[in-house]
Amino acid sequence: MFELMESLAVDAAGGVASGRAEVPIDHPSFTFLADHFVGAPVLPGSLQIELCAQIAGPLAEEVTALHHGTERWAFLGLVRHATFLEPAVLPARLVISAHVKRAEPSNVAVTASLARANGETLCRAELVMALRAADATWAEAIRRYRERVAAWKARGLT
Amino acid sequence: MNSGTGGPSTFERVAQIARETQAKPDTTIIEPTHLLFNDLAFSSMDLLDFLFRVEDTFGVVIAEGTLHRLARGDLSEGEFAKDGFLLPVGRERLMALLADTPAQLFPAQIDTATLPRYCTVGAIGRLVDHLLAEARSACSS
Repeated sequence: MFELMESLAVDAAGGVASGRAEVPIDHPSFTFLADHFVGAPVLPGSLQIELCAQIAGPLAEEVTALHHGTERWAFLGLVRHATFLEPAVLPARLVISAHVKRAEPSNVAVTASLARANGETLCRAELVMALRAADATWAEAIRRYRERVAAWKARGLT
Repeated sequence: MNSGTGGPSTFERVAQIARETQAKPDTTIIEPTHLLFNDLAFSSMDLLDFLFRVEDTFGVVIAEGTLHRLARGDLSEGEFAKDGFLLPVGRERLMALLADTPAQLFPAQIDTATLPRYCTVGAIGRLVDHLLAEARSACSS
């Protein structure tokens, strides 16, 4: 889903993050979207959650580094609640917001929402990001992840 | 502990939460002596989900390190654990706190990050009762 992300801003001290995503109907990595559903494509709820996780992850990692001084990598561990308020009709420009509900050394609970650019909320969710220490085999994945997040943040500043 | 109103006891409510966590039918038998990981086959994510549900149900906060804090009691951190592992006296304290967990399950070296793995369902019930009593005490003082 990271291909759909455009920008990201994280305020670890404030425990909040926001981002933007652009979801076309004909993205080459998501060709199934045109068929879901034919003539009236919408973004599946599972992918809405995944977009929320794309900003909840960096938020959880930065909050953990700030409060516990540890470098950890976030994975979506639990979806505690998810409410889908309106169909996410495509194509769509989406705004994702997240704030930390609770931060523990091994996990961060985040409340996230996904809205259209006009402010209409499509989805609300509570995600628990599990935090793990890296092992040596993750080096290349972490390098690429850092590049991706840095690019989102650079666009978030413009 | 019983609710005193004829309703389900803390243990019965905790057991039901354990069933819901693992999407098990209401008829699944869970005993106080059942170990979360060994008997109910909890994963670390099950434990996280379970504790969130317990918090929501009882209105308590089970912060990471709660078991550590309770087992340590009046010992200093240096007396209780070193380099992330319980010292012998710390291990004894934990075993006393979790007295319904079979002694042979406690390894000689216990990583302080793994303490919830030694809990029975009954221990979680006792923990909830303890936290509720702590909260009542804090309110009345």
